[in-house]
Amino acid sequence: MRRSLTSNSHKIAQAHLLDAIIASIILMLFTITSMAILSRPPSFTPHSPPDDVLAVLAQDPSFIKAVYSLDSESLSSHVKAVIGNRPFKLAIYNASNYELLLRIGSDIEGVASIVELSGCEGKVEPIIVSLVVGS
Amino acid sequence: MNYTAASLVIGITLLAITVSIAVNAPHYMCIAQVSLSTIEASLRHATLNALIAHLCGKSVKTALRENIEALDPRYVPLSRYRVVECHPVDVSTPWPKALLKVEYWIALGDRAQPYNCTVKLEGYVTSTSSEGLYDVVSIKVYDERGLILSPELLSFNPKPLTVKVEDGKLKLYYPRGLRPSTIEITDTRGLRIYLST
Repeated sequence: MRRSLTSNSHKIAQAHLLDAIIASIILMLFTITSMAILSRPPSFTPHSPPDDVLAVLAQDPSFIKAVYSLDSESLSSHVKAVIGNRPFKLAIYNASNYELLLRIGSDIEGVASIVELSGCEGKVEPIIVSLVVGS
Repeated sequence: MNYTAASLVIGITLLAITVSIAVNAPHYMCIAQVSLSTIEASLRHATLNALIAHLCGKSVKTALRENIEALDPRYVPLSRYRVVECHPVDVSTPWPKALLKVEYWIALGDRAQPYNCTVKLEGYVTSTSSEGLYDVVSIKVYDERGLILSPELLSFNPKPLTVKVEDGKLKLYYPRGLRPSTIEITDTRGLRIYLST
């Protein structure tokens, strides 16, 4: 009886030891993975600013109309006509108070090209158009 | 709670913390730049907008000054500018030309880069004739880039029955006997001229 109890407690101790080893391995793996993730900066591709794209678009009267009417579908079509299926982010700001008027496209990061338009149809109404194009 | 359950709880907690930190980690701030091409695009648009305002009756100098002053010097660094040529000088008179030519000096560091900007719409009547049931007015219209041969880029008032392109000219077909004495032509940008037939 006593021998059987001793053998049983040994088995429990062995199970607990194995448990502790597995838990330690899991904890170590998590710690190593976490450190590896946090030690490197977030992925970032410094796309070159699409100055030429924006300069071409800013000379297109229908693009200007779409900018001032905040027509997101038309704006998206204009940008895609120039850059194809590459991801982009186009934002329009009121130049007086930098209020965001419209933002379309993907949430990508990169160097934005900026063009400021003084107005439309003879009226003075300055706005800023910012464009980022991904690769 | 046994050891396995405890390690699972701790593991999940660590995972949640890791994900939370990764999601809320600071990202690179988006920076922006302006280049000569975008500065020139801004100035070209300001010139066009000033000419349209001028065609609506505003003095060209006032219209241009208002448009230039509306531009932020951080995005459009300008040393100075001057009006080289402007039509029409009197907006009450129909002129076959709407033109504004401005010389800008863009401030680039310690030097100024000149930029000559012209926006225009001009045209003239090459001939008038009659063809069957129609009176035909042949015209040539130019903008600063050259001859316009796409009728879709222009709107006409009064509107012709049809517009054809022949021999580098636009032929406007009106009903016989209803040829207008003056045709108003507007391009897609809003520039407007009047042609006397």
